[in-house]
Amino acid sequence: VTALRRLIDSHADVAPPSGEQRARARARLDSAIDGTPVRARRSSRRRALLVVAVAVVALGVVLEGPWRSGGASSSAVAASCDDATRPASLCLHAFAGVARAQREIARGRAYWEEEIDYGSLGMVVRKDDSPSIGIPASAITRSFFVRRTSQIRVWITRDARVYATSRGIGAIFDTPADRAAWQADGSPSLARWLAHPGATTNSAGISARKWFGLDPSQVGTLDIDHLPATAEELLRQMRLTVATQLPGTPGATACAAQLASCPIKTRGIMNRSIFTSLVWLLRYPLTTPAARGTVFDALGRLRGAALLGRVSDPRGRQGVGLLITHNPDDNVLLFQPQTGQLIATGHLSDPKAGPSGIRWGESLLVRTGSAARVPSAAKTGEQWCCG
Amino acid sequence: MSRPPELDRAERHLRSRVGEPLSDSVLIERSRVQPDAFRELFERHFDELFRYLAHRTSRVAAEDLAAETFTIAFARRARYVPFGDSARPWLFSIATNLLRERARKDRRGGHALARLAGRIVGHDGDDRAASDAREDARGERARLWSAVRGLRREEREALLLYAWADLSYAEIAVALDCPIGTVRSRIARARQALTRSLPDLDPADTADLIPIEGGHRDRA
Repeated sequence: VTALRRLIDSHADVAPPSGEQRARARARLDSAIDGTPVRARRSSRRRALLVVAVAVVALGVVLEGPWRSGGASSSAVAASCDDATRPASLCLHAFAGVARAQREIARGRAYWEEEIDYGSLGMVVRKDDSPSIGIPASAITRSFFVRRTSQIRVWITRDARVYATSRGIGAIFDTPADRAAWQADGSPSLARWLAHPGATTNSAGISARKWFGLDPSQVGTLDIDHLPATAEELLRQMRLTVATQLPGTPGATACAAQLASCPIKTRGIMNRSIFTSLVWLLRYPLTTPAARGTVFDALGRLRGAALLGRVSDPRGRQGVGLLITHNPDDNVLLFQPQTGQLIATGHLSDPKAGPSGIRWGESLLVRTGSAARVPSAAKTGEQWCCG
Repeated sequence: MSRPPELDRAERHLRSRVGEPLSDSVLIERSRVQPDAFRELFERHFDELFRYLAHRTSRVAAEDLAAETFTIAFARRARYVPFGDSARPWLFSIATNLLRERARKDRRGGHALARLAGRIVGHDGDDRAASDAREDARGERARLWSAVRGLRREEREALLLYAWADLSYAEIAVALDCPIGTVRSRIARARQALTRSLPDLDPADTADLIPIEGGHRDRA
């Protein structure tokens, strides 16, 4: 028996942790995961340095990022938006104030950067190993759905070009029923596609409008770089634009001039279309602060706008929830209270359930900021865009 | 938001294979958006990490160090760089750094390694009964531990990660952030030093315990 073998064998005598030891350690990790403070271990000097470092970083973010907290304006948001019984227009007007107080991205550093969680749903996994695309539903014997998340990072230049990377993160069963279906299917391994290779892709500097999915027909003749200064004028021009897209729709032209004179059906179509355009303008990073303020006010003038109060998204972030009711959809928008950023969208699948009845959409805005450069992966990976 | 074509590719590539739980790497990636996923990593590796740290320090210290390892790992999960499917090299790397930090503090206190002299498994009484039952082996193990303590720190860390943590050479290289060749030479030097310190052990039998090109010792 060698010294090394004795050394190795000696480890067999070390007992595993007791249940109490394991539980105490697990509780510390739980605290970290749940976001509650973990017992401090750093010296006071290191702690002080850390506090200074965090303060410097925070200050840097505030000074560099155009998405600044609105100060007094954000106080107005809290006063106007937290009470779901108050009119949505007041809350959105407060957000308009926050938006107008912000800085244009074009004045920032070289690139504007965004990180997005993109969760896609609807993958069908079949026991017979067939591709899931193009198979009639009747032919699928056992199937289940998995929600898969990708991390998308976007860099936008001042001249509205986009570079982006996309990387698979993981997936979960969409519902307990999907997990049960997977088990009934013999629990086939998901490792291959859950452990997505994480290859990055790039969008090779394409137009930001194209990347963010602007449909030219939505805006028509509107110049999105020079939007009207008032909500009323913006809505009127948007109605005109929609009317040109609805040549066979009764009363479309009259609707453009005066919404109140619209047939109900036409008004619904027009409202939905305008809602889509307004949301796009809020989401588009290069919308100017002034225009963003106008868009908020216009949103508050749409029929069916109501506050949901404070609502949490799938990442546990609390924001101000706005509900826009128009058949057949009840759309939900979630705004970051301090900055007015649109961080999540969804729809209310069960109005009786309140916020818990929200089905969140595919994209969650996770992080924004300025960047000095674009990673090479965003310029050299396999190209994709806008498929 | 456009639908990334890679998702279509994922669909096309979707195939079912039997077995296989999610790898550590996938869990860590998932924990970036679903922090709860990290708890599974704890369940997988806490005991092993605890035993390694208990062997190197004490059961009381091991609890603190192992818990700290996981909280640090959780905080740094966004920076995790996968090495294979297992997170063990990464976790042991964090644990090793915590051990060094603790040793520095102990040295400043002037009472560190002296405490370890003569102890094999734990020194705070937790394992007293077990140690007593193995009294005959104590003398030999004390000599062994004394020899291990006499190694240079870098050599001792590499050797113990190999002997007690069951890491491969390649994994030790990740854990210690050094080239695999350096790991190989450190372990070789450590074994030579042990042989010199304990000449009554047969050096001729040692050759078959060295793995080839970084394999685990049990798989070599």
